[in-house]
Amino acid sequence: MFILAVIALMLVLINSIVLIGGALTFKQSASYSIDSTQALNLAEAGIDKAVASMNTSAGSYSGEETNLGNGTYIVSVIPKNSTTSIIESTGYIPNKTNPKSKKTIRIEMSKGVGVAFNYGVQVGDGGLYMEQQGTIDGSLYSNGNAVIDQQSEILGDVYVAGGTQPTADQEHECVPPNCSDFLFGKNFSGQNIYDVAQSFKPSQTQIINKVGLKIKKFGNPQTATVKILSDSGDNPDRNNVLASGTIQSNLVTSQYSFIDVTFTSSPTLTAGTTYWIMIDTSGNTSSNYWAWELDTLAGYTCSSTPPCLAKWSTGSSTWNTISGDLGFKVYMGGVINYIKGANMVKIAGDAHANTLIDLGIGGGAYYQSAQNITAGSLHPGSSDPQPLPMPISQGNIDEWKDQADENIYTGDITNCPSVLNSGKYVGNVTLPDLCSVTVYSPVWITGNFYMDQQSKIRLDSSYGASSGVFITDGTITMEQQNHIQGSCWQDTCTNGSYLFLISEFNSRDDPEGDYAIHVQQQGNTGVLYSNLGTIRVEQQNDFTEITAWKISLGQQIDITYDQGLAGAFFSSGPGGSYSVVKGTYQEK
Amino acid sequence: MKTKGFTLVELLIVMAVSAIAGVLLLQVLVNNNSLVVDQSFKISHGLNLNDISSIIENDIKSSAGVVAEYPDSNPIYITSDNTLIIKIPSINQDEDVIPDIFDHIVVAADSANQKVLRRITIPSEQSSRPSNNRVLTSSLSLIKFSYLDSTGVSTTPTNASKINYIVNLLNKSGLNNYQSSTSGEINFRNN
Repeated sequence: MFILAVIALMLVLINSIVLIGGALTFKQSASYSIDSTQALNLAEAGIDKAVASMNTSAGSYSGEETNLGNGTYIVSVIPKNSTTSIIESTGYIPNKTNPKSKKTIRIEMSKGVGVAFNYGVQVGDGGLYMEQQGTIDGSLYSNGNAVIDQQSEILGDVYVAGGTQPTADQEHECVPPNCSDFLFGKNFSGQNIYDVAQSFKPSQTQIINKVGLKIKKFGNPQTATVKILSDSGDNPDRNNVLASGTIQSNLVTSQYSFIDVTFTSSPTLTAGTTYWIMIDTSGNTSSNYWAWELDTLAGYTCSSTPPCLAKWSTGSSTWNTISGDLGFKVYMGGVINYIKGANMVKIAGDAHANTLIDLGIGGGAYYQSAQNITAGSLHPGSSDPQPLPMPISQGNIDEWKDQADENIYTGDITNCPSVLNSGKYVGNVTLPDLCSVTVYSPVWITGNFYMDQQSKIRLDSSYGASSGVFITDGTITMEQQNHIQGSCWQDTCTNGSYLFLISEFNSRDDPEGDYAIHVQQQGNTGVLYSNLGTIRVEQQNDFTEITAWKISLGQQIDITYDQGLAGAFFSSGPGGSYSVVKGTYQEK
Repeated sequence: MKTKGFTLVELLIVMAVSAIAGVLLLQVLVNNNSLVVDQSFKISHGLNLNDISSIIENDIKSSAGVVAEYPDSNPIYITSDNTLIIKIPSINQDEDVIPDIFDHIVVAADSANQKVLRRITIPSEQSSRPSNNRVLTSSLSLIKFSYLDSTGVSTTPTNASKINYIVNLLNKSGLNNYQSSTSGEINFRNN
C-alpha cells in the first residue's frame, strides 16, 4: 500500500512537472510574441518618424537612435538615387545592447513625382525650334515638332510625341450654380464609391490621345488609374479596357482644375459610339479621397439614344447612375510630328518620333518614316511616343497663387528691393541694373516682370534643399547676365534647390503671339517654365532647364540639365513630399 | 504459547481503510491525469495558435493585396471567406524586393481533410522565395476571413485594404472537446 502510495505520488509529481514545464514554455512563447510584436511596432514607429523627418527637413534627415516605450529604435537612411532613399528601421526590446527581441523593417521612400523635370527641355504642343550651334546636355521631350538647325547637338535622347489636336472633340463643364462635388475613392455612408465613370460619344473616328478631367483631391489619395472602356448595356465594360493612364496625384490640388491624362496606347474610337472614361481607385483612408466636378443639370448633350451618363461602382460589375454629368475633355485625332535636323545636327542618344529627317543619331532611331538619317540602329515601324503632360499643372500654380494671395502688395515696383516677401504683387516689377533680390516663395506678380542687366533673384538661404517659385501673370523679359538662383546663391546651384521662374502668359491664344519669357543675349542662367507660353532665348545663354508650350532657342544656347530636377522639392504647395513607395515594405 | 495477532475485525478495518485509501489514490491519479491531458491540450493549442496568428499576421502585413483566384487561368484556389490568396512582393537573391512582381500565398483548409490548415507559398519565376506547403495545424475547426476597406467596412476581397481573421482549433479526447480560438485584424503594408 505504501509502495502504491509512493508510485501514485510520483506520478502526480511527474504530471505536475510536465504541466509546469508546459506552462513555462507557453509563458515564454507568449512573452516572446509580445516582445517581437513590440519590436516590430517600434521599427514601424521609426519608419513613420523617418517619413515625417524627411518632409520637415527637405530630405536632409539621415537617421536616429531613439528610446521609445519599452525599447529603442534605430533608423538609417541610405540614398538609392536622387529621388529615392532606403529606410531601414530596427526595433529592440528592451534595449540595443542586450535585446530579447529585434525586428527590422525596410522600405523605400520617394519624393512625389508630380513636379518632376525629367528632361533638359520639355516642350508642349507648340514644339521646339533650335537655331545653329546650340547644345542640350540632357534629353528633350516635345509634344510638338522639333526643328533643329545646323551644327546643333543634343547629348541625350529626343522624343517627339504624336501630336494632339489643340481643341477637345468632346467636352463638358458645369456652369455655376449647377456645380457640385461627386466624391469618390473611399467609403461614403457605408458605400465604397471607388470607381466613377462618364460616358461620351466621339464626333469622329480617330485615335484618342488625351483626356482632361476636372477633379480635385482631399488629403493625399493614392494614385488613381484612368481607363477608356467600351460600353456594355449602358454600363462601362471592365473587361474591355481600350486605354489606360495614370492621374499623377501631385498634379491635382484641393481646387478644381482640368488634369491632363495621357495613355500608354492610343486606340481608335468610332464616331457616334458610346465609350466611358473611368477613374479607378482602390480606396483610401477616410481623410484621403477625390472629387470630380458634377454638373447637376446633366447638360452634356451627346445624343438622345442612348444619352450619355455618369455612373459609379464599388469595383464590382454593378453600376449606379449619378444624377448629372462630370467635367471632362476628350482629345481625338493625331497629328504626324517630326524631328527635322539639318547639316551636322547630332543626337547622341536615341531619337523617337513619327518622322525623322536629316539627322545623325548616335543611338537608336525609332520612327515610321525617315529621310536622310544615320543611326546606331534603325527601328522602323515604331509607334509614336505618347504626349507628356506638363510637369507642373495649372492646379499646382493656382495653389501657389492661393498661398501668395494671403499677403497682397499693390503698386508697380521700379527700384531694387533687397527682399521680395512671399505674396501677391499687384502691378509690374522692373528690376534695374546690378540688382540682387532675395525671394521668399511663392511670389506672384500680376503684371510683367523685367530684369535689366546683371541682376539676381535668389531664394533665401533658409530654404536649404527646398525649391521656390516666382510666378508672373504677364511676360518676363531678361536682359544680359541675369541669374535666377536657388538657396545656394551660386550661378549653378548644386544643393537641389531651384527658383522656378514661371510665366502664365498665354502665347498660344495671344493675337500677336508674344513671348511669355524672352531672354536677351548672353550670360543668363536659371530654370524657366511656361505652361501656355512661348519661351524665346537669344544667343549665348546657359540654362539648367526650360519647359514651355513652345520653345525657340537662338544660336549657341547651352542647356545643361541637372539631375536634381527630377525630384524638385517644395517646402510648401504641391509635389515633392516624401512618402513610402508602395510594395517596398519588407521585414528583414 | 499463544501468539498475539490481529483480530479479524482489525484486519477487516485495515482492509477497508486500505481500500478507501486505494480508491481515493486512484481517483487522485485519474483526476490528475485528466488535468494533465486537459492542460496539455490547452498549452499545445495555445502554442499552435500563437504560431498560426504570427504567420498569418506577418503574411497579411507584407501583402500587396488579395487576389481573386490563382492561377489566373483554370484557378485551383479561389478567394472566399475561408480561403485567403494574397500577393506579396517577390524578392531577389539579396532578399530585396523586386518591384511589381509578386509571389502568392494561399491559406486554406486542405480540400481532402478540413481539419488540416495549410499555408502554401507559390513564388514567381523571378523570385528567390522558396516554394513551400506547410501544415499550420491539423486540429482546425473554423477558419474565417473578412475583407475590409480602410474604414473597416466590409468590401470585396480585391478591394480590401485590411483583413480580419478567426481561427478555431478543436480536439477531442474521450468525451471532452477542447476548443480554442485566435483572431486579429491586419492592414496591408504594401497596398
